[in-house]
Parts: sequence; C-alpha cells; structure tokens
Amino acid sequence: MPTRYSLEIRDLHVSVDGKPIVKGLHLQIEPGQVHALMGPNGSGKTTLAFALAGHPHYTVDAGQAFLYGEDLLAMEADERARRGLFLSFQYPAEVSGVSVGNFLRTAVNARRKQQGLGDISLTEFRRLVKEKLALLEMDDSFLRRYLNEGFSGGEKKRHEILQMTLLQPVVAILDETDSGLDIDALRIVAQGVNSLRGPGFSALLITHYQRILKYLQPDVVHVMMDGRIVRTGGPELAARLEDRGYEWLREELTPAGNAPGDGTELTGQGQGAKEGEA
Amino acid sequence: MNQSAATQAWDLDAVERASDARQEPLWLRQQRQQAFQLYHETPPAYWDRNQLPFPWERLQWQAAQGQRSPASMQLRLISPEPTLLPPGVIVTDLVQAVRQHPDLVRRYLFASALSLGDERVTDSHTVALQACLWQNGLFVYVPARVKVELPLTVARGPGLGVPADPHAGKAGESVGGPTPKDGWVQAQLEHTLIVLGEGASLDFVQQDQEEASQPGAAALTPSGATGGHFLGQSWEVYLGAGAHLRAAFVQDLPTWLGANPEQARPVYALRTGRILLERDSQLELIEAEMGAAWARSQWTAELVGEGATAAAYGLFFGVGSQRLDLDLTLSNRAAHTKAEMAVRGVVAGRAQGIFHGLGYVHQAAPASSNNQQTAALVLNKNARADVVPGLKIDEDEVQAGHGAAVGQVDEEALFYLMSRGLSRTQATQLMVEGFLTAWWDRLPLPQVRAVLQELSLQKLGG
Ligand SMILES: Nc1ncnc2c1ncn2[C@@H]1O[C@H](COP(=O)(O)OP(=O)(O)OP(=O)(O)O)[C@@H](O)[C@H]1O
Ligand SMILES: [Mg+2]
Repeated sequence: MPTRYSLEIRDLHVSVDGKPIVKGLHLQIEPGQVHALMGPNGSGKTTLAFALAGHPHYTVDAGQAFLYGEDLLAMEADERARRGLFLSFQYPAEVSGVSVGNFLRTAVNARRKQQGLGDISLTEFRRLVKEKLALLEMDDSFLRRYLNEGFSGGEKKRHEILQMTLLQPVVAILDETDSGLDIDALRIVAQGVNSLRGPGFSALLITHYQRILKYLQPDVVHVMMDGRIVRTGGPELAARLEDRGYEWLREELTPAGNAPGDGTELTGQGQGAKEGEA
Repeated sequence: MNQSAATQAWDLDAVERASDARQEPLWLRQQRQQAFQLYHETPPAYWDRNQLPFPWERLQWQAAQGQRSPASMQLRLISPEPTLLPPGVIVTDLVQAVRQHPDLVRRYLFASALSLGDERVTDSHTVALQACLWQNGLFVYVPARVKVELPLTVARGPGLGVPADPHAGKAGESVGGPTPKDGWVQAQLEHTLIVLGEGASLDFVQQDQEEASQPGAAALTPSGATGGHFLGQSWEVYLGAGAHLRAAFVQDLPTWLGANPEQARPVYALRTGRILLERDSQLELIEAEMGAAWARSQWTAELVGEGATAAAYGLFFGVGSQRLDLDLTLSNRAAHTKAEMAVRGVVAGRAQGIFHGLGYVHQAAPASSNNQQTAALVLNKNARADVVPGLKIDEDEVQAGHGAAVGQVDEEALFYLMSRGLSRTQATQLMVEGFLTAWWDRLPLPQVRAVLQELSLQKLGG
C-alpha cells in the first residue's frame, strides 16, 4: 500500500516491566525529512526508540508503527533492521572477542540479502569500509578491535554512524548520538548523517542540544514529556528549549496556563503530529 | 547366537575367546585377566553411579563372540602417506603391533595407566574396563631424536553401529548390526598407545567423527527404547626426556544412531587418557567434546620428570539434550615443572556440561607452577554448565591459581547484534565465536582450530 510516510507511529503505548512509559504517541515522518525529538530525562525517548527497534524487554501494549507502510511491530528486531530501520544506540553494547570488521561484514551481508543481493566481495567491502572510515575520520585499525570494547564514548558514537553509513538505512533513529562528543566529533558525525540525506533517507534525531541541529537542520522538532509528544514545531522550538528549559512548556501544558503560542503548536493525545506541508 | 552368549556378554570366558581369535600372547591374556579383577575390585566413579543411565552389565561386546570389529570401524592413518614418515616411525593397528613389535608394546602397554607406583589413578575402574576389553586401536612410536614434521592425522572410519560387519546376520544374529537389541549397549573399545623416545617430536590429531546414519538423527529424541552404542576409548602416552608432543582429540560423534527413528539409540563416548612426561618433555593437549548423547573425557598428565611442561586446552560444546563431562588433571611430581589448563564450555538447548579440573602439586615438586583458567557460556535457560576447578598443593614453593566463571549470554549484546540485521542464530554464533576467541588464539595446532571453529558454527545451526 503506498504511503506518504517513511515512519508512521499511531497511538503507541509501551511498557517496561509492567510500567507504562510511552503513553499514546503519534508521529509521522515523510521520506527525506529529519525530525528532532527532545524532552527531559526519563520522558521515554529511548523507550520509544527501543520499542521501534524491537527490543524484547519493551512491550508494546497498544498502537501501530509502520515503516513505509509495512507493519514494523509484526517483525523481529533483525527483520526490522534488514528492511532498513537503524538505531544508533545511546549506550552501544560491548561484545568481547568479535572484531568490528567481521561484525560489519556480517551485518552488511544480512542487509544485502534482504535487498536480493549476494554477499559483498572482500575487496569491495574493504573499499567501502575504507571510504566510510575516511568520511568519519576514523583509523583503519578500528576494524581489528573488538566491538565497542574499550571504546571511548566518542568512538562508540562514531562507530554507530560508521555502521549506519555502511548499512544505508531508509529510516534512522539516532538516540543522543551527539551527547558526549567534542566539537570536531560532532561535525564529523553530522557529516556522516548528511552523507545519507536524500529522498530515500529519513531520521529521527533524539537530542538534548541545539548544537547538532545547527549541522543537521531538522524539518520538524518534537517535544516529548511523560510518554507523549506534547509540542511540535520548527527549529525555533529547539532554540527556545535550549534558552528556557522545559519549565515554561510544563506551565503552558497545565490546564491553567494552557495556551498555544510562539508559533508552536500543541499536539494533544489522540491527534496527529504537525499537520503541514511537506 | 544362543541366549547364554548374550546374557554373559563379557565374562572372563568371553575375554579369553576374544584373545584366542586374535591369537594373543600369554602376557596380554594375563594383563586382561588382571584388569578384569581390577575392574571388579574398584568402585565405579562418581559419574557412573550418579549420572550415566547406562546398563554396564548389558554391554553387547562384539569381541565376546570372538569376532574382530569390522575394519571400517578401526582407527586408521589418514595422513601423511606412511612412506613419508621418517624411518623407524611406527603407526600401526595395535593388534598387529602386539605381534610385530611384541617387546616394545609389552614394555609400555598399560604399564602406568592403571597405577603410578602404589597410587591408583583417577577413573582406574574405567581404564581397567578398557585394559580388559580393548578390541583395536593404534600403536604410534617415534624413536629417540626423530622429529616427525608432518602432522599425523588419524580418524575412525564410519561404522560405529553400522552394519559393516560381514559376519552380522549370517547366523541370524544381530551382533554388529545396526541396532542393538533393546536394553543392550553395543560396545566398541579402542586403545591407543603413543610413545615418543628421547628428544622426539610429533603432532598428532585424532578426530572421531561420523555422519549420522539417519538424516536428522541429531534432532531425534529417545523413542523410549533402551540400549545404545558405546565407544570406549583410552590412550596412553609416554614422552621421553625432552620429547615434544602436540596432540588434539576431537570427539564429534553423532548423538543418535539407527537405521530409522524407531531404532535410534543414543551414542555414549567414554574417553580416558594417561600421559607420562619425563624430564624436560613438553605436552600441548587439546581435548574437545562436541558430540555423542552422553560423553565423558578424563585426561591425566603426570609430570614425573624435572622441567616437564604441560598445557591442556579443553572444550565442551553441548546442544540439544547432550550430557558432556570433561575432567582434566595436571599433576606436578617433580621440581621445576609447569602445568597450565585453559577450558571453555558452551551449552545451548537443554544440554548439560560439567568440568572438573585438578591441579595437583606434589611434595616432590618445588619451584613448580600450576594454573587453571576456565569459563563457560550458557546460551539458554534450560541449559546448564557446572565448572569445578580444583587445586591440591603439598609443596610450599609453588605458583598456583585458578579462575572460573560461568556466564549467561548477554541479552543486550544479542539485541545489539540483531538490531543490525543479524538473525538470532547469526548473532549467537558471533557471540560464541567472541567468547571462544581468546581460547582459539592459544591453541597450538592451527588446523584443529579451523576444525573446531567450523564444528561450533554447525552446532549452532549454521
Ligand atoms: N529496563 C527498564 N527497567 C525499568 N525502568 C525503565 C527501563 N527502561 C526505562 N525505564 C524507565 O522508563 C523511563 C523512561 O526512560 P527512557 O530511557 O526511555 O528515558 P529517556 O527519555 O531516553 O531519558 P534520557 O534523556 O535520560 O535518555 C525512566 O523513568 C526509566 O527509569
Ligand atoms: Mg535516553
């Protein structure tokens, strides 16, 4: 079925260990768009990301999610990935004894298989990986190290982006990939994301800071609180949050001071996200 | 076959008849008789009493009927070509060797496998069974100062329980036939004697592998029928002063054998090895338990000469409903001896694995070391691994220690890999590979590493 959206989430409810965390979330991303998702600590951003990626500990209690019209929630985590969903982890896992190079090749081949392609040749893989390593200003010796073991915070994040550029997803969720990066690393990571931008790539950028948005220029900014998207706007919404924190928004959202303003739009439960031009 | 032959499958008469058929010399007959006594005098080992659902008294032992096991079942040299071996090196069937090299064989055969001085060795009950009943096996001899460059590779041909026996069925009997009679265990017992003279060196690789005779036999569950197939294997290894042996023993037998699912019976593998190290000799040993429904491997290396060194690398890898038991003892009996053990275990499905390690530093072994390092990975909540390291130290001036860990598969890491598109099987394989990497890297024989890597991937379904 043709669809307008690369990623569409309808009334999603997610719980962890029986505790509801995401409580009726709507989101629509159009092909080619980059959306930013901001929100205070503990508001459920990572929970949303994990639920979309298919983490077994995160239970979807209700709602739907579609990747280019395909029912995401019906798929196992690995199938979601092979169909082109990518999650850059806030805290990537370490896997001792598994080399980055070996892992990357296995992952690239899994994605290629889904696309009806054969295994990548060793020469082609080397060429590809060298190109991406150069793009992200990473050393070749990375490939011989064990997966995330002993990586610095910044190296882990770069490694996530390296994987993303190799796997060429259609929708990427970047969970605080910008956190803990120095200025240079931030620029480099942004470069990695921008290298994929185009009509066939969309991203949901989970972040606390406006600085990455200067490089990536989101089309839409959402604010998540207590398991829902409570406001959707343009880049200026991010600037305002950075200046003033979340308190003003909380106040506006309490029944007494509930008034829209500043060109931002309040999106309540049950409604769609920003309705607007593509 | 008459009824009484079956029910008295292995009394002394039967042992005698088998010796007749093989035209064995008197000393060997006496040795078998003594072993028979010892078997009955020694208590069964703990695992025999507690774990093995095994009707010992119903061992359907082919040789009891005076037959030799079919040639296809016997261990044989795969490579190199015998003509490429240096002069003086002997690699031959043990039954032949008794005739062709009587003095040499007599000097070593079960000379120290059952007891060392007055001391009785671990599992002497099992070794006694082997000493009493062995039907075939190998004799490997490398004379002093001869270095065998090409690795000796031996394997047992297909035939464990498969109707390769020309005598089978001739008189309407089922001996050697594909399926043991209900309640009976069809046995095959082998003994291999390896002797390295002073300063000799050898690489030795034995792989016990067989295609399951029934497609998908590995997935079978017991049909309720009792009985099974038993492979008893024992080794004696003598390393003369300054000799160097690198040896690998890979057990990858099928878990079940039978012409069809109704006839499928479990395969039992019971292995014991004894190694004696003289002054300055070096041993590097790999023991890998991958196959059989029930398996136990017990190896003991006795470092009796000053300056001897032994490194043992053990692996058990169980899936389905396999029960695997690995037991390694490295024993320092002289000064300046070094012993080292590294063991890994992987269990999936409903498999159970158990490892017992013993580092024993005797009083006569000052300035020695004995270290163990063990880790097991449990892939499934119904699988189980027990790791029991042990140290016994009767000497003050030694360096010894052990570390052991049993871990579950890291769910977060598994999800991380799957979130990159790897199937659960691929992700698990990669994590197991990662778990074993440090161990692979230490293995002395590269070709064995490749074999084990391939087998471990296959075991996890890839
Ligand atoms: N595995 C878990 N077990 C128990 N509680 C959890 C678990 N995962 C998340 N939570 C809880 O769910 C809530 C939302 O967590 P989540 O990680 O989704 O927040 P977040 O918006 O990503 O926060 P941050 O900005 O700090 O990364 C928190 O209260 C957290 O403690
Ligand atoms: Mg988070």
